[in-house]
Amino acid sequence: MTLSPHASPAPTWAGDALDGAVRWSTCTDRRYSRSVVDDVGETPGRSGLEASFANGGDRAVRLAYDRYGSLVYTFCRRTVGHHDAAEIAQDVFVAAWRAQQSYDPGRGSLGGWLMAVARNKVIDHLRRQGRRPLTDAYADSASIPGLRNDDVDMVANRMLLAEALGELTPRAREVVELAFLQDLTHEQIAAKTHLPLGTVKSDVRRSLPLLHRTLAGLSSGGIHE
Amino acid sequence: MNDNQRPGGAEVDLAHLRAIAGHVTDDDFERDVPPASMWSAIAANAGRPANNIAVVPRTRRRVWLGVAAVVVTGLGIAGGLVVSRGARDDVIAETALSNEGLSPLGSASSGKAEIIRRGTSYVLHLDVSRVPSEPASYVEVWLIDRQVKGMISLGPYHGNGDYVIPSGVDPAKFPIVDVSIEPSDGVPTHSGVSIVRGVAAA
Repeated sequence: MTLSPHASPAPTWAGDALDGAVRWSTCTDRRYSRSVVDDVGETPGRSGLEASFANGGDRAVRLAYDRYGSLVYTFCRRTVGHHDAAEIAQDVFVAAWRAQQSYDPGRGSLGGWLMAVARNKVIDHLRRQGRRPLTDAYADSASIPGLRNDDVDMVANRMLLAEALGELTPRAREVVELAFLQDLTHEQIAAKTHLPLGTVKSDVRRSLPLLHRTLAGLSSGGIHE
Repeated sequence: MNDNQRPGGAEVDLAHLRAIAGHVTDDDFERDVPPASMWSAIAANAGRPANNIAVVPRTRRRVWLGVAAVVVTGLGIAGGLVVSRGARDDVIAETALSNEGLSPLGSASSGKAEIIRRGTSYVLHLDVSRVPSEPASYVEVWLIDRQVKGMISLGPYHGNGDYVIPSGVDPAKFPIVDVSIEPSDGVPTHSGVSIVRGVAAA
């Protein structure tokens, strides 16, 4: 297991796929990643959005969609499948829009809050359909009767943790991975990475609250409709 | 390791984090792009005017990317070269950037681009010469997929140097590096006015 987004397999630079003439004809106007680019890392963008979301009006919702739309949509796709993912993800953001002022940044991350809304929507949807989520263990058995909410929760937690790790600097992410996965002490991490001990401690001290806060958003429960 | 040596503090539930971290897989970092129509559907269902929100495209103009430059393979593609900059900073793909067939606004422009793996993340290292300056416009950096349908904006051009590729974006899926002139009209789509372009390859 790895916590690295691109650790394996390595990206395949399919030059062969470009051997043919790629026509520069038309393309879509998809720009969903713009605000994500702006907010990579522990920049004020993330905390600023969370602080202003409740009273930020329509623009704040749009910014939240730009930042977390792919997270929510992917979560829905993984738990309910392609066919219903878009509808559920839409419901999530509609509900979030209507309940915008109920988001409390003091209780956790905005991403976690949205994922809490998504989790509840997914569970409701699956319950109505009487089937289990399409999590890893049930990827090929969408029709298995019964529902395990903990499966949905675990996927949401894992994706949120990945989201938070993705916001760390590569150095901090490596330190956190060593601390979590290999259970190394600060001193061992410093020796292994050749980083100053103070840097290791600083990375850990700054990173763990971010991870915790991100997951706490999910625990906040989302919207009670 | 002693508890007081363990990373973290009392305010963080380490056991909870560890329990989740132990199950994280590469799939958890992957992200799908929502359907292009999703935002409009959300706004419609919420009874809100999607088009009045500043960051939403006010017009859905059709984008034409350099009609004259129809063949990507004509661009200079540096192949087979992997330059090591150290164990944690590797050039995994690169390309020359050319104005051939593109907007005459960038006729004097050229450059090169590198996709660099830095630890577990990626950056685009850009080096463009003679970047034009147009009134009421700015220059923007893009990664585009092979089908010329998916585009990732890396933001406004801020000089030669590194541009962060968002986590979760596989740069191998967006190998086309494009630099364009964008009018400052608030329309967040590609203008179709590209000044240089290339296809990154290993």
